[in-house]
Amino acid sequence: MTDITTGAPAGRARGGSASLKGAGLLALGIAAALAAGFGLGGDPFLLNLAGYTCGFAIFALSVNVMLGGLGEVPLGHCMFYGIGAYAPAMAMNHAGLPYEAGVAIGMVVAALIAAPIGWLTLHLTGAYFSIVSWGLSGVAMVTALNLDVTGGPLGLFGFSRLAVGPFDLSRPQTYFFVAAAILLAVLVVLYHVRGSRFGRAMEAIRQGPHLARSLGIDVFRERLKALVLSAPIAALAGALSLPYTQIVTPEVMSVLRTVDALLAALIGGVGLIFGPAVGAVIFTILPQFLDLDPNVKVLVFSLLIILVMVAAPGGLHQLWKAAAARLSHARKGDAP
Amino acid sequence: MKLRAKAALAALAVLVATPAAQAADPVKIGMVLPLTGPTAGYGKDGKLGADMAAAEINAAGGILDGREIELVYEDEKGAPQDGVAAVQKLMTRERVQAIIAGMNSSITLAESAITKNRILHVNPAAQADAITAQGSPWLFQINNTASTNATIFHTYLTEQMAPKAIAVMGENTEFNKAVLENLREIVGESSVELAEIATYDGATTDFTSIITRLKSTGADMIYVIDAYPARTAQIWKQIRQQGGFPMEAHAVGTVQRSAIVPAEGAMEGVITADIFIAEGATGDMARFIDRFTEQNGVAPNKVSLVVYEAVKVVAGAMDKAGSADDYALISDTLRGNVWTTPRGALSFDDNGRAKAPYFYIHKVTGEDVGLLDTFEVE
Repeated sequence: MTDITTGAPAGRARGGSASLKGAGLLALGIAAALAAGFGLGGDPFLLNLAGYTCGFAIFALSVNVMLGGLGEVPLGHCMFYGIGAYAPAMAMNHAGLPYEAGVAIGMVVAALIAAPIGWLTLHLTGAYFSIVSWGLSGVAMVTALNLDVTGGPLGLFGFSRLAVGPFDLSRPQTYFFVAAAILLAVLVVLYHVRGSRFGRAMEAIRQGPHLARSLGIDVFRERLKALVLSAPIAALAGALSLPYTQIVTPEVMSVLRTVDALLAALIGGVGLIFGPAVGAVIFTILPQFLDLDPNVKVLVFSLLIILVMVAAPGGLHQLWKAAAARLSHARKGDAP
Repeated sequence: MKLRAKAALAALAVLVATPAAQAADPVKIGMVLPLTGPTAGYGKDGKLGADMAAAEINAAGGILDGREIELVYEDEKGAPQDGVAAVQKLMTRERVQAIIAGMNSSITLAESAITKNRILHVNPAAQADAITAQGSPWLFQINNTASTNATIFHTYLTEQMAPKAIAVMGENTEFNKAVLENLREIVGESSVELAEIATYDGATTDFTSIITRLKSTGADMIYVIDAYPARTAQIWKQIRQQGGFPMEAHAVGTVQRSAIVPAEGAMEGVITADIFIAEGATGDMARFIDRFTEQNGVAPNKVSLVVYEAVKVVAGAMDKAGSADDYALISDTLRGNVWTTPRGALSFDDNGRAKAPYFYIHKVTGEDVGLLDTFEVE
């Protein structure tokens, strides 16, 4: 218990193997990204979709900071995603700034807005927090609908240059590699956060806020820190959607976007650092390979989600773990 | 020597066979429609129109010396990101030679960013002026723009119906915004007063308080601007529950049977307008309606018509240009010719906007709309 609040040696002793495991996972992620990037080299459709999926995975990761980290359902997180999408669009179309500058502005604005919102809402928990955050995203959506600077209902489009430095994001392969690199960077950051004192405090709060408080953790402050951390990550995800969608409309702040990210996190596993990223891949890419009538596709995919939720409520990795455990038991049983 | 002779014969066979094989290759046209989601009804109507057009073209011997038309469908689900995915999939995986995509304006704008300077794109139904104002050389629009339709209809409302004051309610969308802008302009030039404008978001289901407020203004005309059939029915039911207005109108091109039937009589007498006419149609339009009804068991609507026309116009332009993929040539051919469609002679201006000869004022009668007046579009 002490390592939660003080970062005791027990935590550091685990640090070595955890770092190795983390480095291994990072290497695996890089290898997977390179294999996908070059493997899909001749298919611009899949490369673009993979780039968009990386952005969606980042959004699912940001939602999971609140969901898996604190046990809260942040329905209004789509607002930060929307801020991230609108910021570069407005920066490019109205101020003539480059895309990267708009992305940075969006992340800063999202963090700055998250602080007072968190201050107001994080005294609430459970359904109350979810509903209030949803309401705030509704306010943001109506604001975007009615302002000229956001392009009103039609939104903003016709972007001049979507690029990060020398990397032109209108090229599918470049878009994918940039988005995948950013996704890996976010995973590394979140991995370190989880192992940090702040990460352990979040875990303690998730397991029992009253107990965490009794251990000296400032529950409100840690929850606020989690929101302020997750908001710019959501904004980054929103910005990464632009090269794919080519337009930003008020619909970008629809609560359905958060619901999709929540489902991706739940399917992939909220307890795993990369779970939401796996869920995002399943959620966006798998339907493209279901060669069915669109209505049947919706039905089949919805049934699959229900099946996964019933069979493995902790995420798909639960099935993998169960299979591995069964295999191990079977081997032990076979041993003389 | 034997081997050489065989090789020569094989080469000759390939040379002879290749043009024939090419001639038999179908011309693939990518169809992006909302097949699921809140506007799936439009997708279904559009698909019936497209299938009929392709069947007619193929039955008449195809295009480009006997090549058949093959339509490849993708679902845009009513969301920009899905519209973009659909267009990219059709262009890069299905290798289609033209894209027909456009029901919702925002989605069409997103799709047009992908198709710009890369492939021929025909937008059958989306109306926002911004779509064709982009200056995309290979982008064409079959439906009238929102401002063209609105100008004719609003002039009719203010000059022919001549209410004292109009109360307006509509969903907060780009379509509504453009229509309202035009209404303000037309009303400003007349003696009609704009009593009040009430907007609501897409999630609204209870319009009672809005209608009560609009009635309290004393306006003698209610004008509803909403493109969603289910909500349109709901709004008119609630207007009827509150006693209605002396004069009632609904936005151009948005009143279909899918709204009138569930309204259960609440839309009776509502004035609207469209580029499509069912009742009282003559000539090519009547023949189109008969064929469509016979083949599909249901009467066509505006969406079926514009998608049908889009397929016909694309195929006709490719055939006349003698190419399925020289988009500059096909675009020049589209602009430089007049196309015979059920609506009459259709031509395209420099921005790719179609100009159809007629515009119809309708009145809801029973379970459909009846013709009230016909205007020639100048």
